Formats: sequence, C-alpha cells, structure tokens
Amino acid sequence: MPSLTFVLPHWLYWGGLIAFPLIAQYLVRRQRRDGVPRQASVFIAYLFWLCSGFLGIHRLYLRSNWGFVFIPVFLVIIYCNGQIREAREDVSRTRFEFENAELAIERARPPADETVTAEAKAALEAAEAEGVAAKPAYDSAQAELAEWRAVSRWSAILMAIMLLVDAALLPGVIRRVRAQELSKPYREAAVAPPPAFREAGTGEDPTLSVHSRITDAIEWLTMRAGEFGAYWAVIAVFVYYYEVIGRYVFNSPTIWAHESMFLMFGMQYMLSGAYAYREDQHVRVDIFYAKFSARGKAIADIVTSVFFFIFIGTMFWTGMRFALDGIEVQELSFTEWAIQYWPVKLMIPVGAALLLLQGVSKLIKDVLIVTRREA
Amino acid sequence: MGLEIGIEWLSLLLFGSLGLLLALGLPMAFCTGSLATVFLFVFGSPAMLNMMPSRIFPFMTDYQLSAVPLFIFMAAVLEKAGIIEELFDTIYKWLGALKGGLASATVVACTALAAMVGVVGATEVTMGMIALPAMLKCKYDAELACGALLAGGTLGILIPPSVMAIVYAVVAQQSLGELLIGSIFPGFLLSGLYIGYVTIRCYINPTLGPALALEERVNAREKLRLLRNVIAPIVLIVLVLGVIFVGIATPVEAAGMGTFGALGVSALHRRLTWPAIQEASIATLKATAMVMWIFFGATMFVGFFIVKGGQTFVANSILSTGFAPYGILLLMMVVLFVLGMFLDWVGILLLTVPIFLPIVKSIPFDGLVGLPGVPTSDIALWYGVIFMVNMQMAFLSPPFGYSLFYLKSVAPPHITMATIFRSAFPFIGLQALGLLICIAFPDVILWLPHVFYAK
Repeated sequence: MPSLTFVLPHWLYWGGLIAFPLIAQYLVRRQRRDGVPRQASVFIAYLFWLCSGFLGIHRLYLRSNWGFVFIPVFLVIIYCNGQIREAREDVSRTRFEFENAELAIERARPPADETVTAEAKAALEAAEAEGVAAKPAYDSAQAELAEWRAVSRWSAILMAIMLLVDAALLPGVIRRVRAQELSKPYREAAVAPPPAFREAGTGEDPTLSVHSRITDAIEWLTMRAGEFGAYWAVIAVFVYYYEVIGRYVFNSPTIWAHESMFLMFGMQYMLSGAYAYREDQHVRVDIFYAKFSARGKAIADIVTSVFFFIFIGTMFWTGMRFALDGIEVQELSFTEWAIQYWPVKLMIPVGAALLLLQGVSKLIKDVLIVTRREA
Repeated sequence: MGLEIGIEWLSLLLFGSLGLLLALGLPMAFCTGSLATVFLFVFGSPAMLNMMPSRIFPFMTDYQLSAVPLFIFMAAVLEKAGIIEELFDTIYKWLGALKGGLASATVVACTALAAMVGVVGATEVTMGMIALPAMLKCKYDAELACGALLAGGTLGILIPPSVMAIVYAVVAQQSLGELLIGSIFPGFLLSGLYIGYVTIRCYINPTLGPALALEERVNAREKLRLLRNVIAPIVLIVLVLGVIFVGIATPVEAAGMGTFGALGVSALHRRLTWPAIQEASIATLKATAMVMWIFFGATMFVGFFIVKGGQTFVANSILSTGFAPYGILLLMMVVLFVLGMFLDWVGILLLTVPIFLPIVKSIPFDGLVGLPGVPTSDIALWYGVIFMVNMQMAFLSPPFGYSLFYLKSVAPPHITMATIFRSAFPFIGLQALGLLICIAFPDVILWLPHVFYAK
C-alpha cells in the first residue's frame, strides 16, 4: 500500500473551521426550505465511496449486495499490512544479527602483520560460521517482506480498479434504487421516529418565552456563535476516521489529527456556554426553584446574577490577559505540527464575553418579568 | 484580601453558600465557579484569580475529554437514525411469548443501546416513546413498565461507552480503557438483576405483565427474518467496543469511528439530511456545554478547597470516626446517594472524587468477611466503577433524578409523576444490591481489565 504523508496545513485547518460551519448552515437552510426527498442521494453515495468504498459501504448504502465483494479484498489488505509490519521487524532483527556477525568476523580476523595463532583461527572460524548462519535468515526475511509487499500491492491495485469501476457505475445504480424505492418504499419499523425532545436542563427558566428587541439581538448572536461551533463535531468524525484508516490501511499515522481535534473541541466548549445558557441547559437544583412563581424565579435570578457576573467577569478579564500573553509571543504548540495556540486561548475571553452578553440579556428579561407583573 | 479562618469554618461557609446559591436556582456551573472566585479573592489574593484560565485551559486541550462530545454526538445521531425502533421491534417479537417479556425486551434493548451510546437521555427518551406505549397497550402494570424503562435507560451511562467514565478518567488520572472494560460486567449484572426481577414478578402475578396474545406472536421463520434488523446494531457495537477492547484504537478514535457508523446507519434509513445533522450537532453542543461548564466551575471550587487544606480536613474527620475501611466506604456511598438525590452526576463526580479518592487510596481493602480484597494499585479503578454504579441510583432517586424527568416528558398524560416516583423504588433497591455485589466481589469489576490489560 502507498503511505499517506498528508499533513494538514495550518491555513487549511483554520480555514476549514471557519468555512465548514458556513457551508453547513447554508445547506441546512436550503434543505429546510426546499425539503429533502427520502431517497438515495448522489452526494452521500459518493461520499461513502470516497471514505469507505474499500468496505463496500457505498454499495450497501444503495442496498446492493455487491458491497460484500469489497470486504474480503479489504481483509486481505489489512492482513498483509499486519504481516508487512511483522516482516519489517524480522528484517531489521535479522539484519542486526547479520551485521553483528559481520562485525564479529571483522574483529576476529587477525591483523595481517601478526602471526595467526590457533586460537585466533578458531575464533575466526566460529565467527564466520555464525555469519553464514545469519545470512540466510536475513535473506529469507527480506524475501518474505518482498512477498507480502507484492501481495499487498496487487490487492491494493485490485481494490483501486474495483473502486474506479464502481465510480462509473454508481449513477446508474442510484437511478435504479430510486425507482425501486419509489415503487416500494423502505419498510419502516412499526413505530414512528421520535420527534425532537429537550435533552437536558430543566426548562424552568421563566425568561425563555420573554422577548424584547435588545435581548433578541443579543440572543441572535449567542445562538449563531453556538451553532457555528456545533457543526465542528461533524468534522471530527471524518478526521478521526481518517486517522484510524490511515494507520491501519496505509500504515501511516498522522501527527495532526488528534491535536487538531482536541483543540477544536476545546474551542467548542467555550462557544457552547452562552448557547446552553440561553436554552436553560445548565443544570440547576430545582427542589425549591421549581416551586417559585415566575416572578419569584425572576427575583431569585436577579439576586444570583451578581455571582454569575463575578465569575464570568473574572473569567473574561483573566482570560483576556492569558490570551494576550499568548498572542504577544505568537504561541505555537510544542508538537511536531506546531499549530498556533493563541486562537484557542482567545476563545476563553470570547466565550466569557458571549456569556456576559447572554447574562445581560437574561437580566433584562428578568427585570421585565418583575416589573411587568407589578404594572 | 488574605483573610484567615479555620478550615472547619471555611468548609462550612463554602458548602453553606454553595447550598444556598443552588437552592436559589443558579446553575451548578456558575455556583461553583463564582464561589471559587469570591473565596479566592477574600481568602487568597487578587493575583490568585489569574489561576482561572490556567486551570480551564488544560481541559480545553485534554485529549480524552474530546471523547465526550463525540459520544454524545453518536447518541444524538443514533437517536434519529431509526435503529432503536428496529432493535426494540425485533427483541420484543423474540421475547413476546414470555410473561413480562415486553419489560424484559425493554431492558435487553436498553442494554444493547447502552453498548452504543454513552449517555442516558437519548436511550431513555426514545425507548420511553417506543416501549412504554407498547407495554401499556398489552395491559402491563404501569409501575413495572415505567420502572423497567427507568432502570434500563439509565444503563446507558454505565455500560461502555460511557461519558461518565471519560470524566472520571480525566479527574482521577485513571486509564480510560480499563475503566470502560471494568464497567461491562457491573452493567450486565444490573441488567440481569432487572430482567430477573421483572420476570419473577410477572410469573408470580401474570396480570402485571401478560405474555403477548397468541395471534400477535410470530413464528420461528419470521423471528429469523427479523434478525436482519439487528445486524446494524451489532456492527456498531463491535465497531466501538471491539475497537477499544482489542486496543486497535483509543476510546476517542473509537468514538469517531462509532459516529461514522451511526451516520452510515442513518443514511441507510434515508434519514441523513442536513437538518438532521444540525439537530444532532446542536443537541450535542448543549449536552457538552452542560458537562464542560460544570467542569470549569467545579475544578476551581474543589481546587480552592484542596489548596486550603480541605482534603486533609475531610480525610482526618472521616478517619477519626474510627470506622473500618469498609465502614468508611459505606459512609461515602451514603453521602453519594444523598447527593444524588439533589445534584446531577457531573457535579457529584467533580466535587467528591478529588476529595474521596485520596482517602480511599490510603486505606487497605482486605476483603469483606473473608472474601478477596482489592490490591492497592487497583483501588482507583475499583472505586471508579463503584462510583458509576452508585450514580445509577442518582438518576432514579427523587426528587431530582434525570431519568424520572426524561420519562415523564414522553409518558402519556395519565402516567403521573407519583407513579414514576413509586416505580423507581424497587429498581433503586436492585441497584443498591448490585453496588453491594461490586463492593463485596471486586473481581466483578477487576477481572476483565486484568485479562485485557494483563499486568
């Protein structure tokens, strides 16, 4: 198998983090507007072909049993890779032994100007015998490696041909499947899919249904920022997939996959705070709180908001200094990939700022609730 | 400002104000974070506040923690993928002829789901919507039906993959792989206890859970045909758990692979659309935010408490009670249970583990009444799984148990909150029994990790 040497360039990483959510948002809006027919999609079929065609997933997606043909070939490749790894170790071990034996012969050979003692002669013979013994082991290990490489190469070529043929066949298959599914829709399980539900949090917040122009503007911002970061989870799926496949199919682990992803999630944690606060998803203990009236809750919220602002304000202020320190020295990570660290650090004050804004918006709404009822 | 007071008063003040703020309804993440800020300022110095970003930043760059959003994402995708309906449909037809078969099928389906997802919400709600109406239609006793659903759905966070195990592994600096593998048998143990309980109850009193009517049962051929439906779940389970077990990939990578598989299943059901991806992403964002922000707040809070000598104070006061090691452990379990009635697991984990774990590690556990003990090197792992089993009760114990609210949100209106509360009690008892078994027979937890991670 060829090896993958792709290293994600920094500009592509940051560019992707910005571009992907925008594209996703656009596609979501378009599909929401136009509706999506529940049938096989060309895009998804080719996506599977690209990412996991070697397992025949694109065929299985189209409910074509030809997908199973790919699996044995894939297994052969994986098996070969394991064997190649082992053979490589054998080669380096036997080479080491062989070279040691050569070295021992060199050492045992008496210098030309010395008379050869029987002892030295015996030592030389022993060393040479060992050298002779080490040589075939080294040769056979090399031969074995070459053999496995050949098998691996041929199965890889076979796989490539199968994939290319399938790429040409796919549009026809999709057309047929669509026609088939139109006449005989896919059998659904007896029960309907569940509608959306509230995942967590308690939904006790009385301000959830309050609106005013300024708070709506603030919330538009926090929601957009949160949604922006939310799409990154999709990127992670493909990157980790690439990493694992790269390691096992192509014998080439990456230096960037893990670092890029945990930094991305780190930034997502910060962006998510305000969004979750807006949606009342931060858990609270509501043994008492749930029993308060809406006005009581609003008053309690106003009182406790002091603490909220102390925490998030401090986080903003100290986080800002922390990030500015990083920006000043243009901090990079200490890894081989050496990605810029400061944008990640900058997310601490950004996330805190979004939360502060959201806190202000909630405070305004709480005050509105308290005053509205009195009026 | 640098005020100095004794640690007894400080602890009282700290936890007193925490209780007060929590009661006033400020979210946990902000309670702990703000109190840490205020106390650092009053009892430390303004300069100490600068430790805030340097405590938060390591979590943002933690490799293991990125498995949290990924596993939540996987659950969110699966929930909409149509796999849960198919799974339940199949198991229910297989077990329909048994008395209480539907309730058993619920627990089995939940267990299988738990091996795919690492959270409670997705399993609990989806199964609630599918299985509860099915059971009620078959004249099942509402309490038994709700109880099986509550207890089964909660397994999601115990049986690996498990978000709780990830958080514990990060807090306790414990190997995540060992924790995940160690929690398998306790998960199956609980699942077995639930099925046994349901079946025994229904065989004693068949009106609680009658078998399916004869005409609704399916023949053996149909049953075999239905097995096609469980291929996808099995592939997913193998993809996630197999990958972790065999050590092919790290749990984080396994989460990525599993989510890829979940997207595949969703596409196979023709449900993979951009709006669906948006919903799943946003659900993930919200659930992740909840976990991570408690992380940020509670780490400051506990950090302050430990710096001020709180850990030593708690250790000394617990050790000075003169209890035997198992007495101390029992005391901790009671404390966790009580906390579980009011707080959610993230908060409990982050507040108690840094304080309790050093104590547990410092005392010997030589085995209860002649049973085998726990080697010192395994205590962190053992305690971690025990903690997770204990937290199962936190999900079910009123007044504040997540599972109760999840189920209520999808139950038909005539199922009252009181019914759900009552239905939880026998299962809390079963969980306590399971916990006791895990404590008395540590090998339930430790055997499998020893096999896979031979030391």
